[in-house]
Amino acid sequence: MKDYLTEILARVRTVEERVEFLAQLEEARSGNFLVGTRATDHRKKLEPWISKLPLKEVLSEMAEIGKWPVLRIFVPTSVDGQGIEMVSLWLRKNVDPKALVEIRIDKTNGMGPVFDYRGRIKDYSVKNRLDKYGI
Amino acid sequence: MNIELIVIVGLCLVLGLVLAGYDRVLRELNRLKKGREEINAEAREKAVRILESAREKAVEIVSEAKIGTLRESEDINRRLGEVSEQKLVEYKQMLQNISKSVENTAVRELSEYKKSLEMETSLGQKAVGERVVQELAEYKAAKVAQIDAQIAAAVKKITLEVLGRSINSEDQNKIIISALEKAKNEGLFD
Repeated sequence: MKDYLTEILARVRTVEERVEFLAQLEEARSGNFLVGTRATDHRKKLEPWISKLPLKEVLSEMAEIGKWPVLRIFVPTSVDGQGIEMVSLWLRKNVDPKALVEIRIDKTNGMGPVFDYRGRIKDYSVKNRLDKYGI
Repeated sequence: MNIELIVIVGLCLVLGLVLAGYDRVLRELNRLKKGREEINAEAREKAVRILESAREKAVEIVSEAKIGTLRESEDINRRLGEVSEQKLVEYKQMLQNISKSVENTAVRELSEYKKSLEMETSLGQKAVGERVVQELAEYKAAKVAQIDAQIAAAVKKITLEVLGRSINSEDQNKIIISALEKAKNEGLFD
């Protein structure tokens, strides 16, 4: 894998982070065609780690980055940074090295997550188990 | 020379004859013209007389017609008055008869209906009472079942929400990883 992709994947683990990253790339693209002071101003708006990337190559892969697969997880409470890190590592090790995580809150499920990956659902919530037993 | 004189005399004679003839024709034409004017004047006079006579006749006919119409109208009104009075009397009589007949019929039918109603009420009262009691029992059971279901749903919802809030981050992370392993084994990511 190219070095800049490894750098991006380390920084971009969730769908929200991808949205922010793509917005920064748009900023970079609009400044990339400018020269002089205005081009410098655009570059200053970028995160330091993004401004160090080979922008020309990264910009050519914007569409591909938009297609990275997403695992959507429905849980009753928010997942902290450590949880995101754990899930992301597990996902990229076991499923797809470019997979992203999206956390959605659903208080009606009780304990246990519900997964949605490429439109396929797996429901491990307490609510689902109670429903199965007709409770 | 003599011949010329004879020719001239001859021509003079012919000219005289032609002039005499022309004069006669002219007089005849004047006479006819005068006659035609007299005829036209006479015709105009006759036309005026005929128109005058026709107008007088028309006035006379209209006057007679008015008088006749007035008389006939008075006659018709008088006859209508007579017929109306007669018919009014007959109509009043007929109304009285109808009113009496209707009253009798209504009293009779009301009496019969009252008797029939009393019979039906006494017979159906018992059956209606039983049916109402049964319907009430069914309604009560359905309502109780509905309330039970609502209470169970509310309890379930609250329980799930409390359960969801009670879990800490560490446990939730472990549960997610554990569930991911299970999902992988069940083929979610294949």
